[in-house]
Amino acid sequence: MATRARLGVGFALLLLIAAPWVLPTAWLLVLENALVLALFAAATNLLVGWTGLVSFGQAAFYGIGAYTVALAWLHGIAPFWLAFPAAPLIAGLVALLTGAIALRARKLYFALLTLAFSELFYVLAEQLYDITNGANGIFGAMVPDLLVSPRPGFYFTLAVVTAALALLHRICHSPFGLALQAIRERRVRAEALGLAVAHHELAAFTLSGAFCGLAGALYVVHDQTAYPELLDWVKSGEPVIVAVIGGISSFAGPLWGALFYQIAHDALVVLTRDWQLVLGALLLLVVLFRPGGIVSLFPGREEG
Amino acid sequence: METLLDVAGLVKRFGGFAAVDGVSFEVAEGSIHAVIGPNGAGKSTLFRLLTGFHAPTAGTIRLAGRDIAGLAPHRIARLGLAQSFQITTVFPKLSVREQVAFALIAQSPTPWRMLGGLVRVLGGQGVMAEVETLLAEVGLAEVAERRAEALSHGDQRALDVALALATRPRLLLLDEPTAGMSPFETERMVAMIQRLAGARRLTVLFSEHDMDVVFSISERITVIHRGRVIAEGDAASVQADPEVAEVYLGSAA
Repeated sequence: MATRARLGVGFALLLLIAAPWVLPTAWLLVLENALVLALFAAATNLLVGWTGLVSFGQAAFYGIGAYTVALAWLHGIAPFWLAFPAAPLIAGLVALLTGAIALRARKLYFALLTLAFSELFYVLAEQLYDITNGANGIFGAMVPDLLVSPRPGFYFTLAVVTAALALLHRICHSPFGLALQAIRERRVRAEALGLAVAHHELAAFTLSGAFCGLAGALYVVHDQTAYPELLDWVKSGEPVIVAVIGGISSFAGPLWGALFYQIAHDALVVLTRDWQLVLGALLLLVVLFRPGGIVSLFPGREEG
Repeated sequence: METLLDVAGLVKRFGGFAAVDGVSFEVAEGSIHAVIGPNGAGKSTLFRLLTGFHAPTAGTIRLAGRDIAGLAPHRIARLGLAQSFQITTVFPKLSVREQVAFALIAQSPTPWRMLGGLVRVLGGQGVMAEVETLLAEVGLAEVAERRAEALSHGDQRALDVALALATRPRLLLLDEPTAGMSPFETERMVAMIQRLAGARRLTVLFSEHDMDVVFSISERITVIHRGRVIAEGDAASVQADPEVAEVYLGSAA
């Protein structure tokens, strides 16, 4: 990271650490939501922006992360502190299995297969009533009391998201991350140079799924609930839209996108029921006129 | 000289059409060997068979004694056969340095490489010194920070060759290395090929339309027409071959 970027990250962290002492609780919850969304979008962007694989099924792993925590509580399988770290592992495992199938197809067909898996898990969550409470979802005291109160809850989320983003950043800028970019740029050439492209794509898909699962588990910390809509394709579209608005070709893009999206969403839902219409128009404007997203508006900002 | 590449009875059919129809030839280790032929002779298909992007219908391809026919492209690359493409296929949005580093990293064996890649950062690896050496060798040291898409055509071709060299090949396959180049760029590319073959003791197999280039640097020339070998030999014997003359005159229009 360049010195300027380091300073920026340090400053942002300071602001976030100070936030619980200056912001009203309602705002704090908006920020907490934005943090979770930022992780969800950055994890998705490992596929979309870095590897060039557009997945419309990342909510499946987000939802699986959320349900891991909720189901462990509902059925008394494991305490929170065991279920929470298990969430990204289980989501990653499911991503490994579904990715092995979805990645057999390319481009549009890959996107459609990921969407199909997302819907499959959605239907399972809704239909397996005895296990999941079906469409009613799972509510209750599934999160330790400590984390339910606003400040510790916020700091927990901040700590987990920061650590996860640091790890993701490291992955994106490692030789492995470079290999993913080469696959995005020219898959055939990457293969001709001796790269086992299929293995790398599957590894990226698995990692992305695990981080999406972690974001889903954090959602439960925030809302103490899990319900089938967390897994459906509308939810899957969210991190893709956030990443595109923020800028998919830089690591910071999805993070800015998440902050912008969350604030815009929370402001718009108060004003109009058709907030998605506004969002859609905005997305269209970004794609047509600013394909680099929000980060491309910052002067002199380097990519990556 | 030892035989590095031994192609025998190679056939590729697309439906009823045999694009490569029983091709056999040998490439000696350390030589510069050209494959020529009119448009549609089957050169590109032949190269795609050698590099694994097509599976042959019949025949064998031995690289240093090992049959590589039908292996996946990345396996063949690992075994020491690298290629530079006819249409330049560098990585447009990566910097020159980044993509040469990638090409070097892609050589270490999977899956350990992948795991190593997760925990090690780029600069920490010994590859960076090798990157600089390679860039100097192909004359791209000064544009190392630039994205490939911002390079001139000649520089893109040089980068393409650098990527192929990064695989530390025994055999370098160049598909029309001077296609679309200015006379100056052509001269530069020819000099580079000769320098590399000499310094790296590299075996070079290339296809080419520019006959001046072919006859000036090739030690051996294989002529292909309609998927078959019609002549083979050094520059003088190929130039004197009546069948070759007929094929080229006949297709000159």
